[in-house]
Amino acid sequence: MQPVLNIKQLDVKFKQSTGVVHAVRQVTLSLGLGECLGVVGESGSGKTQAFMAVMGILEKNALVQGSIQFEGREILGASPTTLNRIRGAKLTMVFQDPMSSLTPHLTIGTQMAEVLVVHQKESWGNAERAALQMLDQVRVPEAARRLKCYPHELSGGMRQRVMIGMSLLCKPSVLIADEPTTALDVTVQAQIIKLLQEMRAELGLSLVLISHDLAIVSGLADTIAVMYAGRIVEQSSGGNIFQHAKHPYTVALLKCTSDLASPRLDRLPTLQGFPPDLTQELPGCDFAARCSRASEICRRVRPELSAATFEYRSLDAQSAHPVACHHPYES
Amino acid sequence: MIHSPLLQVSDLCVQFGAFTAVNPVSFDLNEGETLGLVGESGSGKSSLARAILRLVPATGVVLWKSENILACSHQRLRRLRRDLSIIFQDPLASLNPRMQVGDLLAEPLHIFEPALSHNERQRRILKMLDRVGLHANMLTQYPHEFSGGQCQRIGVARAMMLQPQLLVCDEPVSSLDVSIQGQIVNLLVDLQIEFNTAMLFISHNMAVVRHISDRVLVMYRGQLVESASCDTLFAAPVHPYTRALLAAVPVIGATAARPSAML
Ligand SMILES: Nc1ncnc2c1ncn2[C@@H]1O[C@H](COP(=O)(O)OP(=O)(O)OP(=O)(O)O)[C@@H](O)[C@H]1O
Ligand SMILES: Nc1ncnc2c1ncn2[C@@H]1O[C@H](COP(=O)(O)OP(=O)(O)OP(=O)(O)O)[C@@H](O)[C@H]1O
Ligand SMILES: [Mg+2]
Ligand SMILES: [Mg+2]
Repeated sequence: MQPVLNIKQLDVKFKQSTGVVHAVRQVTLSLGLGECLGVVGESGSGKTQAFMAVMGILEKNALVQGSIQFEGREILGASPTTLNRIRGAKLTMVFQDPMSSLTPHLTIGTQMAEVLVVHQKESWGNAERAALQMLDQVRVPEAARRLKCYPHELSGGMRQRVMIGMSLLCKPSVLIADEPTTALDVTVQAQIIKLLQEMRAELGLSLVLISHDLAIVSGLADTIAVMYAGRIVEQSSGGNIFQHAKHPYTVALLKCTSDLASPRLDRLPTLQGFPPDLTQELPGCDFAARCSRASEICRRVRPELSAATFEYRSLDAQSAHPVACHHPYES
Repeated sequence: MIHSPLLQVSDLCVQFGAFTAVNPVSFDLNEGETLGLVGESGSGKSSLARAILRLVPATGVVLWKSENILACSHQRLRRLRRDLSIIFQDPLASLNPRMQVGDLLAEPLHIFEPALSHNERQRRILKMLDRVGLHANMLTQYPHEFSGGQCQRIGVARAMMLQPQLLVCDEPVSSLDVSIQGQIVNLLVDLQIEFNTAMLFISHNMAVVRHISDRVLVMYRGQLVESASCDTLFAAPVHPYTRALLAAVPVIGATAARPSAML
């Protein structure tokens, strides 16, 4: 079966006065129909920008290379008319910062209805009814009153729910959700996750879930990719990766995770050192400077993602577990 | 040890038109203490935090070292702002998009410590940048050129520039990976020990709240429904909402959305 979204050797660079920021490096990923792909990784590792590239909405100073196929068609470099037909309707994204992705001087109702009027040529009346129904569905309390609110009049969590609702209005085939639950209390988080699960089942929605919350990703994703300094360093099935992490970065990340069952410590565990400067290209492994297992070869030769690419193979995806490391943990 | 509270909030109430976001709320905050504030999305946590710093209209009394913040003159308020700082929930939206990071961090120093030499100012900015884990070559970048977590760290750095005595943190670590979360939380604790800063710490991350708080307040639908020492709250939650909240905390490896944990 064809993946709905197929990203090959994606590179994103930003030109700046002080140098070129190489934010996304040779990222290859695919998303099968109805699948959920989880993307985790360090802050600033390129998770958001990789999918901004998929949406074709990078900043003007960006340079993109590689290939991005949506439903079998190349969309990298496609014409604005083609992109506008897909984007916001079949391929949608919920952004990380809900406040800055809503228009401040329009009501929530107007902004939601507009999506349907523009993409599906609905009448305003129908569109507003659909918007109200959707707000109910994403559990915004007192939905009718909220439709008349401006974004600043909603709490952070409500704005996030509005964004999710808005992105589901056109029944997309792929939803990219960038940190969809961070501003929500854990009870609402659970509701949103359930909602996303239902949408997957009802609409055959394929989902990309970018999140720092490893527990949420582990509960929802079929496959998980771990990013570090612009690259995918490890990838495996959702159930497998955290139990049998191979890359020292993934292992370190898991060591930093605490839940209510862990003892109260004086200090929270952190990774030593800092992520590399993305304007530099290191010859070896980007994680070597912070890695307890690093040896001489790690600083000299870049480890390739072992199974070169992690193609979509729905069934044997369970067993595939590529890792970019010279000294991986045994699993 | 007996000390009078640094901050005494009594009957604080926030109203937006006919809608009551925060029903009368009262609590104290002592010097060097961290008060966690958790609760439902939309229960009024941010409104409460903003009301304390007089960033939204409110009624009631907010005594800061026995001076009512809600009633003092604007001139006096400006002076007080040196000691009262806030990290906003929406990191990108709260940073002026037309200012470079270096200028965003210099601004509080320009306003409150104008006598500082250029070199000393740069030194303080670089030191803070380093402590939040950002590179010096990012100083000339604009907020939109940063990742979500990097923006959040800029917000943290800016709020800490003046070593405030009260730091209100509204979801300061929500868009950070766990390692940098730990780094920022440890940094806040360091600052607190170094300068005896009091903190109001709003977060949906229960593990972090448990780590950092001395006491915890729980809000639900604009009401304060529970207030307890951190250990008590997590060991023996009383209010049904608090219980639901603790039961819903996700755990790695568990399957998502356990309906039993939902209200
Ligand atoms: N317009 C831009 N110009 C220059 N650099 C940029 C620009 N946009 C993003 N970057 C850089 O690209 C890198 C990747 O950013 P991205 O937003 O993808 O990170 P992320 O993995 O989503 O992080 P987070 O978890 O903090 O959101 C960052 O280091 C960021 O500073
Ligand atoms: N400026 C405003 N005008 C009108 N209503 C507002 C305004 N600001 C907030 N509200 C409303 O007040 C209530 C409380 O919002 P607040 O932002 O304080 O919640 P919160 O507890 O911080 O939620 P979250 O965890 O989602 O950030 C919400 O119902 C919100 O819609
Ligand atoms: Mg991001
Ligand atoms: Mg809030």
